[in-house]
Amino acid sequence: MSEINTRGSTSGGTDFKSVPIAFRLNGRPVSACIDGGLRALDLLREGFGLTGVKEGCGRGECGACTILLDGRPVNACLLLAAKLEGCEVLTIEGMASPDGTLHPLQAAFLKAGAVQCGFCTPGMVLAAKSLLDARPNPNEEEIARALSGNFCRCTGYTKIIKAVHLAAEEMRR
Amino acid sequence: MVRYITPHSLNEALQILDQEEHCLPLAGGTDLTLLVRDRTVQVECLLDISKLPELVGVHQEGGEIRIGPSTTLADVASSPQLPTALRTGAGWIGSPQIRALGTIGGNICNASPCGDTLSPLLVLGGRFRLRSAGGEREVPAEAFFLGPKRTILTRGELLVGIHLPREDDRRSTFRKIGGRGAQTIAQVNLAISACWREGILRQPRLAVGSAAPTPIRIPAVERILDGQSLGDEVIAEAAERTAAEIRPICDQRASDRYRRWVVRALFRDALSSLTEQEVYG
Amino acid sequence: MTAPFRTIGQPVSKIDGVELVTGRARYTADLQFPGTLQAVARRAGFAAGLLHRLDVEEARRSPGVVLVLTPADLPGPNLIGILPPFDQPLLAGPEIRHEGDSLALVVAETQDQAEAAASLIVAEIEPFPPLLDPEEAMRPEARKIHPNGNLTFAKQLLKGDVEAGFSLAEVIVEDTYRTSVQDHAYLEPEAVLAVPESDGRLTVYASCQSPFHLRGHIAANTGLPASRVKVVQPFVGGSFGGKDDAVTEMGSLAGAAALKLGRPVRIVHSRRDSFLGSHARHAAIIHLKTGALRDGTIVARQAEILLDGGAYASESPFVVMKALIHVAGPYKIPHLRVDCRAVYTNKRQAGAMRGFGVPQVTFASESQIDALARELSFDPWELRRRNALTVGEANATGQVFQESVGLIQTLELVKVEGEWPACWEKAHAGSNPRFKRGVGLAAMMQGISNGAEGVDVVGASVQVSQDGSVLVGLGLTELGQGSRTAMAQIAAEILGVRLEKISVRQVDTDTVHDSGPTVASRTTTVGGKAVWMAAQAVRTSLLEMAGLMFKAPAEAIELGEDLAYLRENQEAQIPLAQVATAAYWTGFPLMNLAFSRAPDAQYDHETHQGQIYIAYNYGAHLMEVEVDTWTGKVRVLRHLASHDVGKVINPLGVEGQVEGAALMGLGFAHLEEVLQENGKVRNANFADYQIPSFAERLPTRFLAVEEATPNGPFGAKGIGEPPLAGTAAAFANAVSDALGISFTRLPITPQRILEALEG
Repeated sequence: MSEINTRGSTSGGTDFKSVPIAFRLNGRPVSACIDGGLRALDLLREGFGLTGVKEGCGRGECGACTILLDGRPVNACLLLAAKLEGCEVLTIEGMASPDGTLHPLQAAFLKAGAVQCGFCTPGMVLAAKSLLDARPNPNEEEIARALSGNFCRCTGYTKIIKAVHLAAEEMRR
Repeated sequence: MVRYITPHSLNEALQILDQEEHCLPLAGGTDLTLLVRDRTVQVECLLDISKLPELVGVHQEGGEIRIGPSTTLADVASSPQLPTALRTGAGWIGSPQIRALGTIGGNICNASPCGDTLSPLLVLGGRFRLRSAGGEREVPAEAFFLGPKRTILTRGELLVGIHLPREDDRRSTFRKIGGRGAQTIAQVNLAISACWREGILRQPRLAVGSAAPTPIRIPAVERILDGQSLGDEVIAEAAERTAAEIRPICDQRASDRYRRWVVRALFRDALSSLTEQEVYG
Repeated sequence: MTAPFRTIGQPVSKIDGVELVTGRARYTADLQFPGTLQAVARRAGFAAGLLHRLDVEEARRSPGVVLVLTPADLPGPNLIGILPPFDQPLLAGPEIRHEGDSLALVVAETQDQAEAAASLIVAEIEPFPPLLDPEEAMRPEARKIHPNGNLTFAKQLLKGDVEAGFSLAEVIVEDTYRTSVQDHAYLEPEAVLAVPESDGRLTVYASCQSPFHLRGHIAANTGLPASRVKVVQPFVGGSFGGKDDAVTEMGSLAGAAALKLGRPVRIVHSRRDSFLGSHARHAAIIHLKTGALRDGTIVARQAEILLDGGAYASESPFVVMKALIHVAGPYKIPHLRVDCRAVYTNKRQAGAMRGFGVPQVTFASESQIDALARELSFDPWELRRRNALTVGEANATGQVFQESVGLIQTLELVKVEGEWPACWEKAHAGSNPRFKRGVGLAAMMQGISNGAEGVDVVGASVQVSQDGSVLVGLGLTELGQGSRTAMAQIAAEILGVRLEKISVRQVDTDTVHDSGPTVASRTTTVGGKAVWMAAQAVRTSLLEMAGLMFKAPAEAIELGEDLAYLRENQEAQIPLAQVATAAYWTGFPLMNLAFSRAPDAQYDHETHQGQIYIAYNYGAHLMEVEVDTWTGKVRVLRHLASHDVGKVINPLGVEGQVEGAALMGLGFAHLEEVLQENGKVRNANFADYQIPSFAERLPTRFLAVEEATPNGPFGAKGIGEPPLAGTAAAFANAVSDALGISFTRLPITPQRILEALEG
């Protein structure tokens, strides 16, 4: 069990953690004992070292912290960790195959030049995965709408849409 | 330290709320998490009501539709049995990420004047059922909101049901304008519902959000439209009247003048969409 | 080298891309060291005033707090800045100059504890009426924000005789243009992590743009010699000119705290901190007057530019120079007088941001070109073409280029591809009373390199291992723009190795040469040139060694595909790894450290005439819009962006820069404005500060012009900044064209559109 303070380091914690939770994280069962006010973002980053979950605004406005909760994209910064109980969580670290082969979306983001600084990329890729899992052949408007909770300041978005099209094509094969 | 309680039943939840002074009910948490983090509210205990079966889902019951307040906005937006205005409004809130967590009950109880499900609920004849350990009451949606972030809910009281009358010949529609085309907060939103038969509009209801301290109905305009065939003159008069009736504020999102200007456009767009669309079933 | 190139000009994925798409890339806030403390600054909360008392006792006793740093605890001068004398305190007081001034730094075990304690600090501030209007701040009776007054910097450019020029003019147009404060709004907020090392040195990991700038200030402010400070740049989540001042402040404070405590100290800005406590783009007031003959020849231009510099000087002096030089636009204007000033106000300081003064003046200039075209009843494209700079013509500073002036080619491209003027006629053929269409043009140029702003030297190292793999080091930084990939391509091309064999290391001030800031679209041009030179030196070793092995002269040998081979007999091959190994054992150098030095700017400081930049990027944009006159919403239907980039190194990278800069330009022109009331920012979050979302994406099409410059690798010129200005100016002209209203203020928000329409 990981002992996690609210938004702090794992060291020096003396607070009593009242909430035991168990959930599946990137395909593996995990458990932790947490404070009820802890955000999923902090649990994943600090408790489990999954720093691919980024904090860009802390207010659910930018989408950089997007994770998939039972297949749906959510903002880890607005999600209390206690709500992970019994859920299936996917972060960017769980996207590639265990042998390191990139998920078609990851490969397509690279190929299409949809990545610049990369800070929005994990959330963007996960939101796109949720879309493609539900709709294998989305049109441009559907992609734009499904990813509209994710901001990117570098690319101008066009190449991200292209990447999702590319990946969809690859995944339909 | 914050305790976190997941009750097994609605009754248990109401008992806990009754007994625990500093316990806050929590649905999706997309608003509350921020208040806790900003230290705007001091909280000792959170009561997670998001998974209580009594509070989740959309149900047809006799002459009405009952929506559980813990139904997510995403589910509201994709429930075909719900009226167009409500589905559209729910689908415009925040982002897909917010809609996957946030609930319709949360949007209502947060009571922001810009909440995008509120003006639809006002024009759909929505009624809210409120329950506490001590009893239950039902109020029309319009009576629920007192001001920005203020409602008639008392301590220990929960919103437990949202009820819409089934009116098969009533159509509804929703329009919104914000600073961006997506992931945006309403500068103004607007919902209309009415019966539209043989080119005549009957029993119209019009509500506007982000235009006053609470979402408001505009009865003066409803009277102008009732029984009309919607010629250009009527529409123009009603649009101007809508702009005149609202009492918007000027803030960092938009000026009061801008809100008055665009509400006319929203009104016209909503009306034309209303009279062209199919009646919901 | 013989064409065709193997790597240069090919679309190449980012060489560090796998780390980015898998979440393995570590940004500063992702780094973990045992015992790391979190720190939060307490900000002033008043735009102007006098701090009478700072009581930190309660904060010191607050749970988890280990240190509250006040000005008295700082061993150094408590000052940072770009040009001496530095004027920005790390911790302010007694004078408060803007809302975001830091007063104290609270260091605690957790972020929550630090935040809670920071709110317990009592700051007794006597508020002053803040000076917010730059014109008001310039009045002689205005309160002095700094001891020497409110003028931060002023420059004048004189070319020809402007009075004589205007006396020739048959038509004169004149107007005042205004632009607003734009935030960088990179997705990764500023972050630093200071780690005291066991050997007495200090390592600072920082999400920064100019690591050596940080090193100097951190050393001075912690009292360490610079050689004992190491600044490491992990992955950076965007910068756009923004990660200098604030990160320098944070790095110095975290460094001071870490040294005092002997523990790592981290500061990560919240989004709100990022809005309040970092610099932004200068708001500008530009008074512009242009005179022309009836035949469309521009004969004179006069400009007075006032830049709102905010509380501290930051990069204001250099932004002044850039605006000064660029307000003439890409035109041959014989008579010019430009006065440009930056002034202090009680707002967050303005500094470097993508475009660096050019977007502001390009908007003014290009709006006025359209106004002139209307006045002359001239086709706006023809007017631009008639006055366009060409090879052999003197620009605003009198500089004459004999090559690499591709402006007319960019104009021709947008004309042909955009079907100008037919597209204009089509746009205006409609009679929809609600939706109005319009087409806007813009031409622009942007100087590449630091130029007159300072010395321009970049160091790069290229090192070939015995296995034929290559390590490249460069003193300029990867900020997401893809510079690491471009550098790898340059080295790969020269050394004949495949891209996968190349690593370009992250910047660490211990291992690369101080190359100044990563600014001014100079990375590919000046930095790439250094890599080019270092790689050429190592190539010479490899060719000589291969010559010995082939028993052939070095000139007979070519490198490619990880092989050395004979030009005349390509079947005769030796793997490059064997050549490298042999070179090692023969004692031929396999590493080189090269310095590329841009030709020094030669100019007159009084008149600003002379050789200022090593090259210019030229561009022409065409944008078609549809305006909803009921809501003020604008839809961009078409956007052509043509730029003379000298040589495209990586089409994927160039397109990415163009598309990204274009959308940031749309934000600048249409959506984004940091709103301040009584000096307090009212929209310090992404709900209210409108960075473009997916719904605002542009249909940008990039049209490349390649007029090579001898001063860049393979002829390349930078492209990171220029499209922002072109897009913004074209947008303004398109909306003005659609509505028949001249908009003179950016951003042209839906609200401002309706204000103009409704009166």
